[in-house]
Amino acid sequence: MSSSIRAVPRSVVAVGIVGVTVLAVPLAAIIFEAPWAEVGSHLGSAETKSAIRVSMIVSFSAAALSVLLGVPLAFILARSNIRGKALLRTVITVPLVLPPVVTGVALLAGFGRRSVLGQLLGFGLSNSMTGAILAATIVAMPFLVLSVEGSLHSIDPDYERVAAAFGAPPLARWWRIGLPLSRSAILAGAVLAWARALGEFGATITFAGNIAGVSRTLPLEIAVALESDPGRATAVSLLMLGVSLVVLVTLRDRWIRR
Amino acid sequence: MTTSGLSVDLKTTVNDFVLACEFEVPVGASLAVVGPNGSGKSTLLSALAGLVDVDRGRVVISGHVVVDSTKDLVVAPEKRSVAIVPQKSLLFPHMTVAENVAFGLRYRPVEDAESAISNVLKDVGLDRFRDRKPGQLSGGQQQRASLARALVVQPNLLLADEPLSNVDADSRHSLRSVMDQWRPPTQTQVIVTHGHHHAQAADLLVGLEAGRVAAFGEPRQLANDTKLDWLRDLLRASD
Amino acid sequence: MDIVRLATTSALVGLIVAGGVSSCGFGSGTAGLDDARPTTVDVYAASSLTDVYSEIEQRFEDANPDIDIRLNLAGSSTLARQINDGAPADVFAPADLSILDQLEPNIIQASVTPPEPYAKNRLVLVVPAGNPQSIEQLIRLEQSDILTAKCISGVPCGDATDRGLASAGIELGLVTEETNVRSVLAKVVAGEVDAGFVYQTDAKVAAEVNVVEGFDSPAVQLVAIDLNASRPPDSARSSSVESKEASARFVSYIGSEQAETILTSAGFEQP
Repeated sequence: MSSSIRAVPRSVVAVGIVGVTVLAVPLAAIIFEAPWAEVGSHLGSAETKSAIRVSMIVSFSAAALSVLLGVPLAFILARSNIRGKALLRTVITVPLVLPPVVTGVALLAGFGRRSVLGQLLGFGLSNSMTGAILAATIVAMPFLVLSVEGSLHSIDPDYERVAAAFGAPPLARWWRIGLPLSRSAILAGAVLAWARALGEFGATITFAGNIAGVSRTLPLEIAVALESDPGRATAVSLLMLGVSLVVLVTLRDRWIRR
Repeated sequence: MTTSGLSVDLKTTVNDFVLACEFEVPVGASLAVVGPNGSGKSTLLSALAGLVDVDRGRVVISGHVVVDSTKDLVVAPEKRSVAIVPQKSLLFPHMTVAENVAFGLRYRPVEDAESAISNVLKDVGLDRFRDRKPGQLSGGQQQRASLARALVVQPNLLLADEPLSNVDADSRHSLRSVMDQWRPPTQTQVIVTHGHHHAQAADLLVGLEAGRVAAFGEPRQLANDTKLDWLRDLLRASD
Repeated sequence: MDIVRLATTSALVGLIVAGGVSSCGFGSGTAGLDDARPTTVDVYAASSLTDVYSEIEQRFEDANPDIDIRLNLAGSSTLARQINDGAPADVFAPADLSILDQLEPNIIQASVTPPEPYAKNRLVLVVPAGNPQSIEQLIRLEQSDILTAKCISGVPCGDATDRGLASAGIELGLVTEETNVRSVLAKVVAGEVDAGFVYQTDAKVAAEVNVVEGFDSPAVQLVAIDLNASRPPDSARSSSVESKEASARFVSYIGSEQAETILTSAGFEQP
């Protein structure tokens, strides 16, 4: 055991220990300081149940939309030789680095009541569950696209070429060969996108508002409860921490392999 | 006058490697492609299947022009009547052996596909493995399945890249006769090989060196005529 | 033995990192040896006071060049949480007196009791410019297709809105709750909501909103408390005499006639 530790200089390991401490302390603290006796009743409250319902609908819809719209993009990035691929990748990656509140402001400009589209339609997508799903999709989809694209590079494109030689037209090659071969990559990307959608806060409150039963997701519920009922805020935070751990365990094998 | 099964005059560049060759094979004949590593054998097969772009030239398969650069014509791979036995088998890993063999038949239907699949699997000795996934097969078994997938389609042009390289010596002979058995009279075969059996048994042989045709003709004739030492050795070899 | 040395090294690195953070995170509130450096006063003020406190800061600093006011603007209860967690606030100016209840007793106990409000503010109902939904009466807000923005309950503007609505007997049909009053205002200005409850001082700043008369909200009482005065000399953040004096001077300036002029012109009322 000690020989494997010495493979990394002692000072580097020391910094690593500090790093993991910085990461772990707040998480440990929330677990230790939680009002465990009340967690059950907090999570059973009408407000929390409503937020869970909204969060489930929003996060699963966003994950599904991310798969639907993101998988083709991942294939384009990984397999095609189209021009402007760098630009395309940039556009897809932007929401990854943009503060979510900026994404929210951009969404208002694009799909809000006063946007060109909103005025054309007579209504905006803001302040609605559709808006919450849209906001969550935009921040979650880059995770799916980049994760699937990365995995596609490790899948031999010759399978699709052989399928072509056996008479399969392009769409059939994609549907019967490319897609099934990347199934586990898409699944992992979808879980990642779902987790990101579940945690979405800034873009949601900015664009979709904070309407109970409509756009008040679990993170927004935490923000609300923090002001009026800190115990409930902690209980909901614990719930989200638990969900995150489950997601991590689901993806663990994948991350260890890479 | 014999009908042309395959008429080739092409130049292609893959990663700075240039292949330029010209030859013609009568319909129903078999062509052995031989040559040292890196001489362009696999590239030739890919170009015929339409899997790599051709710089210029003209390729005709059983009377169908599939490439004609003077007319800017390139027929997509799925519209050429070919089937391929790739060097690394490349069975679709998510499909069973039977599903792999059935793959080409979906796009090039034959009468009674079900029994054709059963028969070809029996002939290559995989009838007991039809529901296995490729990952559960040995290298030799994968090669048999890959061969079956191509034979069952009965294409006008069969492209095989060292189809029996992983099969044990005892089985090679019987598999060569399976290849003949599944061959319709109009099928032209192009077989890349390192083995003397296929090379000597083929109707015609093309020897490639550094992307050029270094020898072309009937193997028996070439065994006497050729000035290439490696080719003479190959054509005079025996077990 | 390896483990022990590793632990020691880790602890050292941790100390260095933590020390680095604290020394650049929070400057010292006391003037050091350099007499030319002004004494810093950290003022934690509610975000609804952003404009008026910025102006007060400027006037005060002009009159007192030896003092540097440093504003930390956020929601009142967020500030209260920061102070409870040990943030080095010298002066706390929440949007309402009631927020003081959220402070830990040991922080508030030695301060001036009871704090004297220096101004008050009121919630008003605003609609986007031109009043596109023709909202003339409070009762319209009960309709399920009218979207109203208000502050989250638990923050002063939210609580005051709740009390005003309760006494008017109104239940909002569709409501989106924002974490602070400026977000409410922003959504009304952007026309993304049909109506919103903001302070009258906010309504005065924004030209793009119309005020709908008829909402009678309870006033919020503005107080500024001097946390520095009660801080014991041996506390972690030791306060010098200069620092205490500077904080006291700022708090008394808030109650001065000069500040009153600024507050009144911004729309605040006399307490």
